[in-house]
Amino acid sequence: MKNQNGFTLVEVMIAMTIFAVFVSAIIMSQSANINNSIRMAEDIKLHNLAEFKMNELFIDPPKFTNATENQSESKNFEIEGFEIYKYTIEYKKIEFPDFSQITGESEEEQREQKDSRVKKAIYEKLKKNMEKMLWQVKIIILNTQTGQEYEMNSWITNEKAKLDTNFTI
Amino acid sequence: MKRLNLTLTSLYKNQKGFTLFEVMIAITILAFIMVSVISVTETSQTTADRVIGEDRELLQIETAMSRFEWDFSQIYSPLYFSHKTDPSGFTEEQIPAYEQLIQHYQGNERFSGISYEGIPIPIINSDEKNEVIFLTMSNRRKMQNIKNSHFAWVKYSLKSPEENTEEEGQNLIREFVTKDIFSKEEIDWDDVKDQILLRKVNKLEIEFWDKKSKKWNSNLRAVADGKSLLRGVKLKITYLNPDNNEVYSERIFRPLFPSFEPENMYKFLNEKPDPAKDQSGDDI
Repeated sequence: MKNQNGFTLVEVMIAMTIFAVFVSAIIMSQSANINNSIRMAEDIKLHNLAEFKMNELFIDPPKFTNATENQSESKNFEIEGFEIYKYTIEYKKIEFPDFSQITGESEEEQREQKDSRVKKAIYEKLKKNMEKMLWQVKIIILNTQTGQEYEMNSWITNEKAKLDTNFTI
Repeated sequence: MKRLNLTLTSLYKNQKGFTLFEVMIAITILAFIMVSVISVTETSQTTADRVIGEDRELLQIETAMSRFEWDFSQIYSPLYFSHKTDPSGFTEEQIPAYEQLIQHYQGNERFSGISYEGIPIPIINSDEKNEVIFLTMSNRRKMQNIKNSHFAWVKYSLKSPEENTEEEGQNLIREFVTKDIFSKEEIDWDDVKDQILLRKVNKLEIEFWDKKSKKWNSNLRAVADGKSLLRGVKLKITYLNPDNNEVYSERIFRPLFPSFEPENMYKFLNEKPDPAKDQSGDDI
């Protein structure tokens, strides 16, 4: 015990930091394991619920009117054991680009072409019909306890769409 | 040379070394660190194992459900794109040909008649609440160039485990037949090898979507047109997980065929559009 020098404060601190980094890395990696697993299980649950709701909508689509666009339906699930999950359904119309945007021609160029007027009229009819037939739907599932969310998007066809079939121009 | 000698002498000056006491303290500290590191890695290993086990248990029901989804989404019936033949409009010359055609596909357990194009209409069967039999297109050949169609009759049902095992509940099983798809004979399901999808199932209820009443019905015979055309199926399943806790799961499946009614399409083609009617109303 003759040597009374010991370590300096800096040396001890460096040693402790290195040790702390190693230990925290190991602990972090194992908690990440558990977190990943819980997250995956929860993600699968949310995905299944979103799919459940989406299939329900496909099988029994709502009545689409002009007012449908601004409505959003939000409710808790009534399935046993899944009461803490909340779903939100939003509908939106599909917008198709104009004729000039598709062809990439300016209006002057279109005027020069002979059949352009006919093409445009046919496209406008198709566009109008397609916009009546297809609806975008977004389903958001929320776990009200953890706040985790899952979003699913799809298109639903409006079976009862009244289409314009008069193609006389 | 002088300078090198100087450093060498200064290096070898300190001949003290460590005392036994110092070495012992160092070893003790090292031992503590080693023990803590080993215990940390070991617990991380056991949690990893536990996590994998839990994931596998979760994945088992997912695999079973995705198996059903794969089969049911590819359910086959010509009624999804065509309609039933109506012999009332036939001429006298057409009737014998029609009768010859329909003879094979009438009055048996598998088919209920033929469609407008002459495609047989398979029957969907569900004699009990926890079983369903249908014709699917989900069969895939296992080897190249083997003669095998995409069609298969598939049955989902519950089956009690063999007597000598002490397992609780029943097994959810899947059976499928790929031979003689269009035969008249009734399928002997007892002869078919079954595949266990999920063990320890307490309860399975299969419900069918009734488009007319807009309700789920577990009795397929009460569903309008349910024998030949399904729009959706709901599975309600209660099973025991490895911790012997009861888990309830409810899922909806639907065929991939688009939901439009061909009968309406034929009507639509025969009707003349009324321009005054099309323009009116908020409905779109």
